[in-house]
Amino acid sequence: MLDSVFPNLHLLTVALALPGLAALLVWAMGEGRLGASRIVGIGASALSGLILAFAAFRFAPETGLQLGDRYPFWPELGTSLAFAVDGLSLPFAILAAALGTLGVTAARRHHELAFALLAQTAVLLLFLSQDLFVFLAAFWALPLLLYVLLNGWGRGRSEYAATKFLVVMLTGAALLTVSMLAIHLVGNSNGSMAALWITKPGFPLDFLNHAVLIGILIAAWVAVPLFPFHTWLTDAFDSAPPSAIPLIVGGVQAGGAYAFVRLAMGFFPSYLQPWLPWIAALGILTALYALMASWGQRTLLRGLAFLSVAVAGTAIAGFCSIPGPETGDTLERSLLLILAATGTGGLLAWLTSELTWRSGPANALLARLGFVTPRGAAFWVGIGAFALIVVMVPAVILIPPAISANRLGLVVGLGLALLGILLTGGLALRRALVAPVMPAQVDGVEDISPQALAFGWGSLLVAAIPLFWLILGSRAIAVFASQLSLGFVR
Amino acid sequence: MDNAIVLLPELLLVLLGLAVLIAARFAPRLIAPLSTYGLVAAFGVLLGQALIGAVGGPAFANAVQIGPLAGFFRGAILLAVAAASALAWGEAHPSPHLRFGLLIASALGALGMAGAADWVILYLSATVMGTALLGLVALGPSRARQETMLKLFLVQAVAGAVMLFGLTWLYGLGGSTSYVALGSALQTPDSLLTYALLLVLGGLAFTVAAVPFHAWLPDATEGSAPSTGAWLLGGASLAAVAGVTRVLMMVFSTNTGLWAPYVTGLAVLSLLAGSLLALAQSELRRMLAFASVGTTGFGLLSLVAASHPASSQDGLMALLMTVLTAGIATLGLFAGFGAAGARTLTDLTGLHRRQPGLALALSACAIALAALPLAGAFWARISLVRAILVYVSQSMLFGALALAVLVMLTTVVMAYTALRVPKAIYLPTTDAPIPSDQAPPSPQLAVLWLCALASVFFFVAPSLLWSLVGAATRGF
Repeated sequence: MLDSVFPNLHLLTVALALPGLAALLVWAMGEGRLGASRIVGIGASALSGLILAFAAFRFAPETGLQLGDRYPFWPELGTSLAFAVDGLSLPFAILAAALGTLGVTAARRHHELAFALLAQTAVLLLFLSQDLFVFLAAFWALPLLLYVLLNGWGRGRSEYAATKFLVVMLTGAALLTVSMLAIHLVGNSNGSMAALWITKPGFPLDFLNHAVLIGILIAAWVAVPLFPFHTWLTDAFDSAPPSAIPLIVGGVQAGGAYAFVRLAMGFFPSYLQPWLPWIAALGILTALYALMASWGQRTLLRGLAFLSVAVAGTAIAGFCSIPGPETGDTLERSLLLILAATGTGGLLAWLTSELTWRSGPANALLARLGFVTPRGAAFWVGIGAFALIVVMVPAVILIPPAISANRLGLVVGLGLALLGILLTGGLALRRALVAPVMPAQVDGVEDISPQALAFGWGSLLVAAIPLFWLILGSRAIAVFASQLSLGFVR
Repeated sequence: MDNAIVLLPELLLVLLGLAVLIAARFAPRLIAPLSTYGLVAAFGVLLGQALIGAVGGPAFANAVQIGPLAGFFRGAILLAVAAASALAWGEAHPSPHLRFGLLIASALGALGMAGAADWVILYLSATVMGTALLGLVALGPSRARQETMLKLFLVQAVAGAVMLFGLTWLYGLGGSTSYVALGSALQTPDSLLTYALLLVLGGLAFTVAAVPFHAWLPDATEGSAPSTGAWLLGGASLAAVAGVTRVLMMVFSTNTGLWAPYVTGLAVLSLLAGSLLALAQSELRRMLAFASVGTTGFGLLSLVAASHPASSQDGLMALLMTVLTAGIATLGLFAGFGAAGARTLTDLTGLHRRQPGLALALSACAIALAALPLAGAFWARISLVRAILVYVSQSMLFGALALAVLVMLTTVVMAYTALRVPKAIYLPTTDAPIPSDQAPPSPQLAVLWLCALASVFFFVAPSLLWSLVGAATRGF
C-alpha cells in the first residue's frame, strides 16, 4: 500500500535539495562573488517553492499521502530517506519555502546566505520527511543552523538570544528523540511515519503511552511556543537578522504546531484526549498573557513576537476543542489559523526587521510605537489591517464549533483571546496613526523611502495572493482534518 | 603457529619498538615516520587478517581470546596510537625515541587488555599500559609534569591494589583466573561475590575514569604533551572500556543483576559530572578530558543495556558506536588544537581567517563531539537511546526510562560545550588583531582531516557503521 505513496517522481527531492546544493555552490563561489551568489541562492530558494507549488497542482486532496520519494538509507533499522506530502505537510512546506525565500533575499553576506539556504533545507526536510529518524535529524539540525544565523549576524543581545534559543530548542529535541525512538520500537522498528500513522503504535502500559506523549507535547510546547517557554521568541525577534526571522516563524513555530498535529494527534489520539482541556487552558492563558505583554513592548518586533505567541496560543486552544461532531471542522479551522498566522506573522516580522535593520535611524523610529513618520504610518496601516483581516477571519470561525459543542469555557477563552488580538492590533494602528508625527526631516533623519514603501506594499500583495489562495484552496486541509479527526473517539 | 598468527600485530609492535630504539642510535630523524608508518602497517596487518578470516582464536593456553569484539577494539586502538604517533611527529621533544617507544609500549599493553581472557593478562597489560603512560606524562612539556606523574602513579597504584584484592577473592571463589572458567563457576551471587565484584569494579572504574574515580584524567591530559593526551583519551580509554566490557560480559554474564545497578550509578554520575564540568572549562584539553568522562558514562549505560539477554546486542552495538565516534572526535580535536597551537578557547579566535580549512575540519570534529547532525556520533547517540529503551521494554524496569531522558539532556549540555569551539573560531568576541602564524604540521592536518571526513562519512552512511559494529558483536 505504501508503494502508491512513493512513486519516486523525485519532485520533492529536487525541491528539498535545491537550497542545500545552492548553499554548497555559494561557498564554492567564494566571498568575492556575493552578487552572483545571491542570484544563485535566491533563484534556488524560489525554484524550490515553485516546485512545491507545482506539486500542489498535482495534489489530489482525497488521496492522503502522495507524490513521495523513497531511497534506502539505514535498512537495518527500517529507516529510509522518505519524503511525501499530504493535506497537512503540503501547505506548511509551501509556506516554509516562501518564507525561506524571503529570508534568503535578506541575507546580504556570503556565509549568512549559505546558512540561510541550509536552514531552508532543514525546514523543508522537517515538513516533507516521512521517516522518524530523518525527521529527528531535521529537528536537531534546524535550531543549530538558526543559532549560527542568530549569533553570527544578529544584533544587540544576539549571543544571549541565540544561546537561549539553542538550549530551549535542543531540550525539546532531546525529549522528542526519546519519544520518537520509543514509538519506533513499539512500532516493530519501523521508521516509516506513514506506516505508524496507520497502525497507531501503543505500549502495553498506559503510563508509557502518556510518558511518550508528554515528550512530544513538551517539544511542541517549546517550539510553538506557549507560556512559559515563549521568552526565546521575543529575544530572538529582537536580535535576529532578517534572514533568520522568516525561518523562525515558518520553520520553528510552524514546526512545533506541525509536530503537535502529526505526532501527538496523529499517533496518540486516544491518549491525548485527557490532556486536551489542559492544553486548551494553556493556550488561552498564553494568548491572554502574550496580548497583555505585547501592549507594554517598546519595539514593534517584540510586540509582533508577543502577538505571534498569542495567535499560536489561540490556535492550539482551537485544536483542543475536540472531541465532538465538529472535530474535523475545528481541526481544519485551527490549521487555517496557524497557516494564516505563520504567513502573515513571518511576512510582517521580516518586513519590520528588514526596514529597522538596514535603513538607518529613521526606520529605527518605526520600531517604536509611539513615534512614526507620515509614510511609515501609511505603511503600517496597510500592514496592520492586512494582518488583522487575515488572522482574524480564521480565528473568528473557531468559535462556532466550540459553541455547537457546548464548550462554554473554550468559547469564553477564545472570545477573550480574539478580542485581545483585535484590541492589540487596533492599539498598534491607533498609535501609528495618532502618535506625534515627525516632519519629513528632523535633525538629518529621513522618512521611510518611497522605494521601501513600494517594496512593502508590493511584498504584501505578492504574499497576499498565494496566502489567500492557500486559505481558499483548503480542500486538502479539510480532507486531512477529517481524516485525522477519525482517530478521536467521542 | 596459531598463537603467532593471532598475535601478529602485537609481535609487530614489539619489533617496531626495538626498531625505534635502534633508530635512535643510528638515524634519529627516522624515528617519527618509522613509528607512525609502522603502526599504520600493524593496523594493515590486522585488517588483512580480518579480511582473510585469520583474526580469531585463542592464544597462550586460552589466556588471550581474539574474537570479533577484541578485533574491533584492537583495530581501533592501533588507529588511535597511529594517530597519536602522527601528532607526536609534529611536536618537538628532546628524546623522541623515549616518546615513541613508550607510546608503542603503551599500545602493546592496550592491545593486551582488549584481547585478555585471563586476569593475569588483564592485570599485566594494564600495568604495562599504565607504566608507559607514566613515562609519557613525565616527558610532557608542562612544568607540573612531575606532580601530574606522581598523581597518576598514586592513582594507578591504588587502583591496581584494589583490583588485585578483588581478583584474589575471585580466584578464591572460582578457582581460576580464566574469564570463561570464572564465568562458569560464579553462577550464584552471594555477599562474597558482591564484595569481590565491587573491588574489581572499583579498580576498573579508575582505568575508565568513571566518576568519582576520574580526578586524575583532566590533570594527566592537561599536563602531558598533546599527543599523549590524544592517546590517553582516544586510545588508552578504548582499551580500558574493552577491559571492562570483557570482564563484565564474560566473567559476570550470569550475574548481571549484581553489577548493573552499580554500573548504572557510575554511569549516571559520569554523565552528569562529565558534561557539567566540561562546560566549566576554558582550557581545551581539560574540556576534552571531562567530555571523555561523559563519554564513559554513555559507554557504561550501553553496558547496562547490554546486561539483559534480549538487549545485549543492541547495547554492545551502541557501546561500540559511541566509543568509536567519540574517539574519532577526540583525536581530531587534539590534532586540530595542536595544529592551531591553541590551548584555550580564546586562542581559536580568528582561526577561520588564518586557516579556513583547519577551522572547518576542527568545527566538524567539534560537531562530532557534540553528537549532532552531520556527525556519525549523532546516530551513535540515537542507537544508545534505542538500546536503553529496548532494555527498559525487556527488563520491565520502567524507572530506567529516565536514563534515556538523562542521556539526551546531557547530550544537550555536551552539545553546547562542544559548540563553543566553532563559536570561538567563527564568532570572535574581541577586536584584537589576528596574529599570523606558520603552516601547521602535515601529520596533524592529516589526522584532523581524516577524523573530520570519517565523522561526516558515518553520518551519511550509518548503515556501514552499523554493519561494522554489528560484525564485532558476534563474539568476544
